[in-house]
Amino acid sequence: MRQPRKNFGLSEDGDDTPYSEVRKKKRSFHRGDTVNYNPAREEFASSTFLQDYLLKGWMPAAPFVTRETKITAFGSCFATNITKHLLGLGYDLASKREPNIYISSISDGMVNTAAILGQFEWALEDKKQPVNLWHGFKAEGFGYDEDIRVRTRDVFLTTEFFIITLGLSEVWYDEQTGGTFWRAVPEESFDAARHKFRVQTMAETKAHLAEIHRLIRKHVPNAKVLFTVSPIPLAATFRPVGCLSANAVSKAIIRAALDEFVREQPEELNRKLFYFPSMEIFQLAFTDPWSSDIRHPHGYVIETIMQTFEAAYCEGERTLEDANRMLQLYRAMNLQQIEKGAPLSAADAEALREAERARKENMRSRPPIEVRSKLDKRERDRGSDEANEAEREARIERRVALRQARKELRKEAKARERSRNEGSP
Amino acid sequence: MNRVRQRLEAMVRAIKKKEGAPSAKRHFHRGDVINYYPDRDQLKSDDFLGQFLLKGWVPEEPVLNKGVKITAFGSCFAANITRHLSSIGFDLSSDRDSGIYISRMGDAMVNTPSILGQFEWAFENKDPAEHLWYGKETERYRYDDEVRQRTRKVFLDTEFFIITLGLSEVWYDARTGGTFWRGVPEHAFDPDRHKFRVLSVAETKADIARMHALIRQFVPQAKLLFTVSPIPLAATFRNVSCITANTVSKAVIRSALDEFLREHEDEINKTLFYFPSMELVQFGFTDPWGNDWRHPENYILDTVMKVFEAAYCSGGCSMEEAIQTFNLFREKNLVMVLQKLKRGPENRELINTANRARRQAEAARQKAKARQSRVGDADEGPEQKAASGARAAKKARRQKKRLDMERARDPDAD
Repeated sequence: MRQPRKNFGLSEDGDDTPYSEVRKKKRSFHRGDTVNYNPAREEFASSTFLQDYLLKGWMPAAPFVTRETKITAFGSCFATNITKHLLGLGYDLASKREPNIYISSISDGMVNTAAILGQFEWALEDKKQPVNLWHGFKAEGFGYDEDIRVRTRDVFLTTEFFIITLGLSEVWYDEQTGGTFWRAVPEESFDAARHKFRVQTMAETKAHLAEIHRLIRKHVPNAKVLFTVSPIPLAATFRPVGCLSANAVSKAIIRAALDEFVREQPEELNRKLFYFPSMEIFQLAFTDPWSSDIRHPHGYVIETIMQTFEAAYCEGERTLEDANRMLQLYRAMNLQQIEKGAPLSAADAEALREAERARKENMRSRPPIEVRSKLDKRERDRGSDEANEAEREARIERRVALRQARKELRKEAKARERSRNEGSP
Repeated sequence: MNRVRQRLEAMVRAIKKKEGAPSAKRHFHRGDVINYYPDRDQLKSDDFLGQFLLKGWVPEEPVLNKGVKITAFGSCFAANITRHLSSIGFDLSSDRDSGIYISRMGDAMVNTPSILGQFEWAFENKDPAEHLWYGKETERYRYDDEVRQRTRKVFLDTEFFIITLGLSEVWYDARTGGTFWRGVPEHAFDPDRHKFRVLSVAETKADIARMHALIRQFVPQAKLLFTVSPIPLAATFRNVSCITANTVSKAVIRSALDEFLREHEDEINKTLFYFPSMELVQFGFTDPWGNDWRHPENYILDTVMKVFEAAYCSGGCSMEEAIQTFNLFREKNLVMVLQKLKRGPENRELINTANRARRQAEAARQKAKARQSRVGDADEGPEQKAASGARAAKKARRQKKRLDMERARDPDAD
C-alpha cells in the first residue's frame, strides 16, 4: 500500500512544483499523447478547477445555445432543475411551448431509458405498446392520445437541442409483452404473474441510447443532443440488497452504457453529441452535497451545476470564470453547513480518543510487511542467485530484525529524553 | 375561514409535491422486498451498516477462520486486505509463498485481463506471446515455469479467493490482443502495436465469468469473493478529465460484476461473495480521502477491514464492534474534515460573500418566478395563481427588505 507522500506538493529540491508535475517527472511507463491527472486536494482551490478537472474533453468548442434555440429537456427528475434554470434565463423550452404533453410532466420522478425511448418511438414512429405502461406520479394512467402524440411529434421535430437526463436502471416490466413501465405498476392493476421486477442490463441500456440517437438523427438530423445522468439516488430498491449498493449499480450501468455509446461516436462528440458530467460535479466537487434527506442536493449545489452548464453551453451568459468562483464560494458554504450540523459531544470526543489509541496500538503490533517486501525487492535487484533461497530468506529476516531493534532503540532514547525533560523543570 | 382553509390545502399540496415518494407509496405496487435509501438520521444509526450497505451481501455464518487457506490479490486495495488478514493470524497466499507474482506484484494486476492472465497461466499454461508483465519500476517478470508451478500449487490449495478489481483503462498489444499489467515501458514502446483503450462491460463480464469458471473447474471446493477497489485512477490516458474517466472506469467494473453476480444468484453468499468496499468508503464517510485525494486515510481502511472481519471471519471482531468502530471513525472523519479546513479571516470573507451572492440569486429567482406567474401558467387554476403570485410577491418584498438591511449594514458590499 502506498502512503500519501510526506513532501506532498513539493519536489525533492524544494521548489514549488505542483504534485502532478512531480509525478510526471518520475515517468517510467509510456504515457501516451494525453494524460489527465486526478486532482490533489490543493488543486480544488484552483480558479480553473471545473475546466481542468471536470469538464475537460466534454465541452463544445464554443457555447452555442441562444435564446432562439428551441430546447427540449426531459428525463429523470433532475431534468426539472435544468428546465427551471433555463426558463429563468429566458430560454425557449418545450415544457413552456407545450406544457401538457407527457414529456413535460414525466420529469418529476426517476425515469428509465426504456421510458424515454418509448416517447420517441411513439411520437416519431407511432409505435404503441399493447398494454398501458405510462403512469404519472400519482399512478394516474396516461393513454395513447393521438392529439398529444401529434403535439409531441411537432415538439420533437422543431427541436434544435435535446437535453436528456438518465435516471436509473431498476425497472418493472410486463413479462408477456416485454414492455417496461415508466415508474412502476399501479397497485390496482398489479398482476403478480406478469408484472416483474429486474435490473436492466448494460447492453439493453446502451441499445436504448443508440436507438434514441438513431431516431433523432433520422427525423431531426440537425438537432444537437446532450445526455446527462441524474445525481439523485434511488429512493428505494426492490432488490434484496442494501439500497446504497443497489444505487451504485443502477448508476454504474447507465454511466458505463452512456460512455460506451459516446465513445463509439467520436466524430459527433462535442459537435452534435454532448455529455454533461452533472453527476460527477455533484458527487466529487462538494464535500457533502446532500440536504437533510441525503437524496436531494442543496439548492446552492444545483445552482453551481446549472451555472457550469450555462457557462459551457449558453452563449453570452455567465462564464466559466464565474462558475468557478461560485464553486469556490459554495464549497466554503458547504463546509460551514457541515460544521453546523456536526457538533461533537464530550462523551463522543472521549470515545473517539479512546478508539484512536486502540487503533494506534493495533498498528504497532502489526508485522512490518512493507519493510519486508522492500528488502525482498532490493535483494532481487542485486541479482542474488535464486539457488540459495534459504540463505537469502535468512538475510532478509536478519535485516528485518535489525530494523526492528533500531526502532526499539530509537523509541527508548526518545522515552529517556522525555523523562529527562519532565524531570528538569 | 374559507381562505385560511384554501391556503392550508395549497400548502399541503405543495408539501406533497415536494416530498413525492410518500404519496406515490400508496399507489404503486411495491414488490415483496423493498430497501430504502437512508436519510441523515439513519446515517448515524447503529443499523446503518447492516441495513443500507451490507444487506444482501453477507453470509449467514462467517466463512473464514484461521485454518482456511486464503489467496488475495488484484488491485492495490488488495494489499490492505492481505495485510489486515495476515495481521490477525489468517493464512494468506503471500505468507505461504512470497516469491510468486501474485504475492510480489499483487497490487499491480489492476485490470481484469491481468488477473485472469494469472489464472490462465497457472492452470492452462497459457503464456502470452509477448512481454506484458512489468512491475512498478518497469522491471519485467518472466514466464518462468517454476513460478508457474508454484502459483498453480497456491491456487490449487486455496479454499478462499479474494479478488480485488481496480480499473478498466488498459494498454494492450494490438497484434496479439494481450493486455499489460500496468502500462508499456517507455523503452519498449512501439506506437504501431501498443494502444490504449477502455475495456467494455461485455469484456469485463466475460473475464470475470472466465475466472469463476476456471476456479470452479480446477478448485471446485474454493469460495470466491470479489470486491472493487475504492481508489480512483491517478491519471487517465483518455482525452477527458480524470474525474469523469474514473467514474466510467469504476462504472464498467461495477456494472459488469453485478451483472455477473445476478446471473449466479444460487451461489451468492454461499460460495460466491461481494464485499461492498467501494460503497463503504464512498458513502460511509464525509470525506475519506487523504491529501492526494486518492488514497483513503488509514483509519478508514482500518474501518473497512474491521467490517470485512465482522462479516466474513469467525473469531474476529463482532458486528457490534465493527459498527462501533465505524460510527466513531465517521465522527473522526468529520472532525478531521473540519480541522483540515479551519478557516482563517480570508475564508470567512469568502463565506460572507457566498451567502450574500446566494441571497441575491435567490431574490433574482423569486423575481423571475413572480414575473412568470404574472404571465400565467396554463395548468394553474385562477385562485391558485393569485395565491402563488401573492406569495411570491410577498417573499420578494421580504427578500428585498433583507438585502436593503444588509446593504445598510455593509456599505461597501457592491
